[in-house]
Amino acid sequence: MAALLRTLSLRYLRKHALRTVLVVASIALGVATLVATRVLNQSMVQAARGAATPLADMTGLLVTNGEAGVDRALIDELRRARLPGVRTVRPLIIDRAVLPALNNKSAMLVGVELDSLNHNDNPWGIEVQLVARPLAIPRGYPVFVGSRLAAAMPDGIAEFQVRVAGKIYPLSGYGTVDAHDTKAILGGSVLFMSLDDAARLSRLTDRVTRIDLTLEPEANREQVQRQAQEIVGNRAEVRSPEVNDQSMHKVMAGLELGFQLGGLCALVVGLLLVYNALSVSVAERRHDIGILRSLGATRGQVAGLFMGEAGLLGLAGSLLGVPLGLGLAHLALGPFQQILSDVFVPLQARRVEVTADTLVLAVVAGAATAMLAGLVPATRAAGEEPADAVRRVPRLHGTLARLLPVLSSALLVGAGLACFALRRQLPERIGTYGAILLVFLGALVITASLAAVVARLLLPLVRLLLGVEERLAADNLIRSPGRTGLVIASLAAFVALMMQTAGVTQSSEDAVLTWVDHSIAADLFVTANSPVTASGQSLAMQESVGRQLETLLEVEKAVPVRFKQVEFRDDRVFLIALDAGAFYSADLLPAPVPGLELLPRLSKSGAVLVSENFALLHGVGAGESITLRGPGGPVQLHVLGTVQDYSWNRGTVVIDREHYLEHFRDDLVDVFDLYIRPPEAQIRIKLSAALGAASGAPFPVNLPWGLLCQSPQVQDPNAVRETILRRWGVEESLVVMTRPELRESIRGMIQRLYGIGYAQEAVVGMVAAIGVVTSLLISVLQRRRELGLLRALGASRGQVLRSVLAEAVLMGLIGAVSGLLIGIPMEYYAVRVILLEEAGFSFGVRVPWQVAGGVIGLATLIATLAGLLPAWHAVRLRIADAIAYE
Amino acid sequence: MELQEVTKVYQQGRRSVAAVRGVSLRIAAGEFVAIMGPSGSGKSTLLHLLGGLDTPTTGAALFRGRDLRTLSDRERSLLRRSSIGFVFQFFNLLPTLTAVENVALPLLLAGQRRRTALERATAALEGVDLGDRAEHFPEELSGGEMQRVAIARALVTEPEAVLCDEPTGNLDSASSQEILTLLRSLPAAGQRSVVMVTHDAQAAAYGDRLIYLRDGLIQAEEILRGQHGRAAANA
Repeated sequence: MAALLRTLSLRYLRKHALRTVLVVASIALGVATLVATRVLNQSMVQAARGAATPLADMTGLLVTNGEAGVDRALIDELRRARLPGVRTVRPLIIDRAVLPALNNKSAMLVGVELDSLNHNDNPWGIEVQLVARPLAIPRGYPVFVGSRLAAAMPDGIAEFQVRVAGKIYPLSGYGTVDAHDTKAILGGSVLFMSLDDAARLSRLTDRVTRIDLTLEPEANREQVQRQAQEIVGNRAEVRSPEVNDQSMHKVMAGLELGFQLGGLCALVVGLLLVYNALSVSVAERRHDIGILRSLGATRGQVAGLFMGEAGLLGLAGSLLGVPLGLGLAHLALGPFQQILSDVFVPLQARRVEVTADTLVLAVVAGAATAMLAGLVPATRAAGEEPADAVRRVPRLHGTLARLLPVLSSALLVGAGLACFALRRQLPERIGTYGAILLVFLGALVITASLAAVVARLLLPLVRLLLGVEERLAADNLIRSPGRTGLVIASLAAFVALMMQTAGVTQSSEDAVLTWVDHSIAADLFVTANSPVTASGQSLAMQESVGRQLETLLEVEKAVPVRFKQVEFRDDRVFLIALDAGAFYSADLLPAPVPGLELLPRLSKSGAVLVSENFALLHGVGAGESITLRGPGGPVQLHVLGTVQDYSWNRGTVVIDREHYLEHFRDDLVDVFDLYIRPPEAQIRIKLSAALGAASGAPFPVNLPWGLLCQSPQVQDPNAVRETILRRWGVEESLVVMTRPELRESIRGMIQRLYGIGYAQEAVVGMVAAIGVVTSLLISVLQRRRELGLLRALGASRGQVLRSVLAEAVLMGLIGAVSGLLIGIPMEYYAVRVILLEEAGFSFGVRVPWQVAGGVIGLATLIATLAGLLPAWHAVRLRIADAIAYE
Repeated sequence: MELQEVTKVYQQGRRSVAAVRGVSLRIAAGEFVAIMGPSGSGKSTLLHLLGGLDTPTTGAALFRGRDLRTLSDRERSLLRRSSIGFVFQFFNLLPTLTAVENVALPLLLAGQRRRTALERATAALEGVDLGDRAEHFPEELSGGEMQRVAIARALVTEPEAVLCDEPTGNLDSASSQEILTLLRSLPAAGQRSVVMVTHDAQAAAYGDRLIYLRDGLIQAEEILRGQHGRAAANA
């Protein structure tokens, strides 16, 4: 078989080099997208694991109490217990710090018992390098600095400052730390210091972030876990790092799966094109197949030949696609990490994670896709009757062959609907995502079959309005549905996916921005170090900052808000602590979102509101109780009702700040919502102060203020921002956003998040364009005689060019309109089913008509541009050659 | 080779067309049989039935006493590969292969190593005086040369029968004569048979026996032994 493949297939592929290159390129693009998607996902999962449970690589078990921290007394209790199988008990404090000297660069502050760094077998494989220090007595807290961070420090590490929990502290570098391989991140932006010092900086005097238990190799983990849990009781939970990572995984799982499906779509479109190319190849080589059969080739040999050819194409595509995918992943890592850090949790992925199974999967996926695509053409080739094929007797298509696309489509759509109906019984996400994928494939299959029908319907219009060139193009589409149908389906796939993404983006954007407008009335938002995000990229501030801000005459109120990602039933939910009374009384919203009016009732101790998506995802409603982990153990909270809130995809709990301080002992602030005092009121206060001070009498309230006030009616928020930044900006590292900026920032975040999808769809578009080129090149070959005859009858080169390009334009238009018809229901499903099930968000569906127009134009343009090369081939045909018989 | 009361009915749309209607025919080993007849008389169909390219609708097609209808498709393929050689009017060479590769094709299909196959193919090409054209592609050869390559391909497996469908139909008279002389040299007493379908009476004269076919039936049969010599001399 190898000799036959070498003699027949390689020669054929070489003869049709351009077509071969295009088919290989389409597989390579599909494989590259799959590889890039998988590699990025793995890198992000790794990074998310690092974010959820930093430094947990060598840890057997964790003693954790969520964000509240673990009682320090447990360290001694666990050590005293000398649990069999436990080698070490290591407390850890982990916090975020920023370095003013490095333009407020963020670093991970790690508090450890310093003797653990001295051991050669320290759990993180860290190499400590002591540095020569000046003889002067150090003024700061002793610290070991990640080697790469140390190298970036402009004035060295001997003396420098960090900001932790809103305060500046001096540090003195005693050495650098380095680590390699998967732990290389520890040689980066990390500051190691003693546990006690870290506790002071993080203000965790009686708590640590967690306690790690390192186990002996032969230890029974479950048994140790049980025994340790008995000791800690309900003050904390003993769990494995894997279980700890699950909550983070849940947050990103939907996005991860959606992203993987996007990658798969590129490969599926690649499959359609390989199928197309091989089908045409079988049709073209039918006579050759007849010759082979007459020379004694068995059906198996013929099928094997075509399958081998498909496998070769697939393998070549895979081998090109893998490095291309890795390159794409390298390029995309930074932006991808930034998007996820903005939306979910700050991530630090320094490199792409490439595993052997990814590489094997990519090569197998590429080859298998091509062979799957080759299955039907190969079977068709093997089914040829030698006498018919050698005599060029037209092939008759049976009823089954004609009905096959309709039956396959019905089967796929039916399977998709079954997935949807049974999604509660199927494993999580399988039914929901399987349904849309199968129905999408079914729609593409039927699109391929219906393309010729649509072209036939368009024919009278083309005849009426356009010239003979266009009519010939339309005729050609009708005559070769097998060649053009799948390419049209590929274009439809591109348009449908673009429409879906654009629709989901617009629906999310509209809903979230409307929610912002109707739930937040503040004029300015003050954070430290970084703008407002739900992912916690900004640094916490002291309450005193708010009091400072309120000393400004322009500031009526600075409402402190604390955000925290906390654990609830193995999920990561969002906790918002705010001064409910101040937030609502200061609220100037004419039409608040549903549930916001309940805010004043949060003054009752233990009362909380939950977001609508929290209620839906966790099945908790008004009147029920939820339990969150507090520093003193579980905190039971009473749900007053639900409020519309789109802050977090796993749900939000809103609590009054006073009760938050009581239960969670945390007085830090993430954002101050600033309400600007109107100019009129500012003058009133100024005059009041001046007159009141002069006469000591109460100030009359019924003065004609309108006449007295010549100042503008509205205070410019930018002016207030300038004042704040001038007075405290550098000292407190403040960032101030106006309302329009906040809206823009949210809009930008949504667009960047869904932008990942656009990147994948661009690849689908490229593969579809390759399909158009391939299809039209084949068309030019098939129409060689016809085009030659046209030229012989006096058609100009321009007319031939027009005819080929007209076919491309028609393909683009039919594909685009079909894509639109598929994309809109897909958008509806994505918004009303997937978003609802994944995040509990019930958004209205907005069809992005403007985008639709653009995408239709883009698809048509892609098809037209892709048609240029084949058109050029067509005009270069030598008339005599083209009309020669053999 | 033998056909016993063979019919072959094709379906053309909703219409059934009987290309061969109850033909019985026996071709002895070492015999050169020419089949003549107008277009549509069923000549090519008869040839395909004899060579196992097609199976009869009714009746039996026998090769060395074995009914081809009882053989599986695979067994018929192996039979064609090892025992039957085909020569077609339009040569039917694969355009992507060189002359020697075209000739080697049946050997490669039989699983022979490429090197061995090419060696044997080169020898077969030399046998038809085309050793110097081995590395040429079909498009670089003349019609006569292409047909000689096709004959070399038919002979490379040393088959017991060579079936030719209008082998000179696409050639000039000089090339036709060369090809016919070559074909005439192929049958060996009691060994290789040659069946040739042709329109051309002069070509038919090279045969030992002429069968005249009309509307799917044998209309006449004539023994020609010896005439080819005179025909060749006259040409």
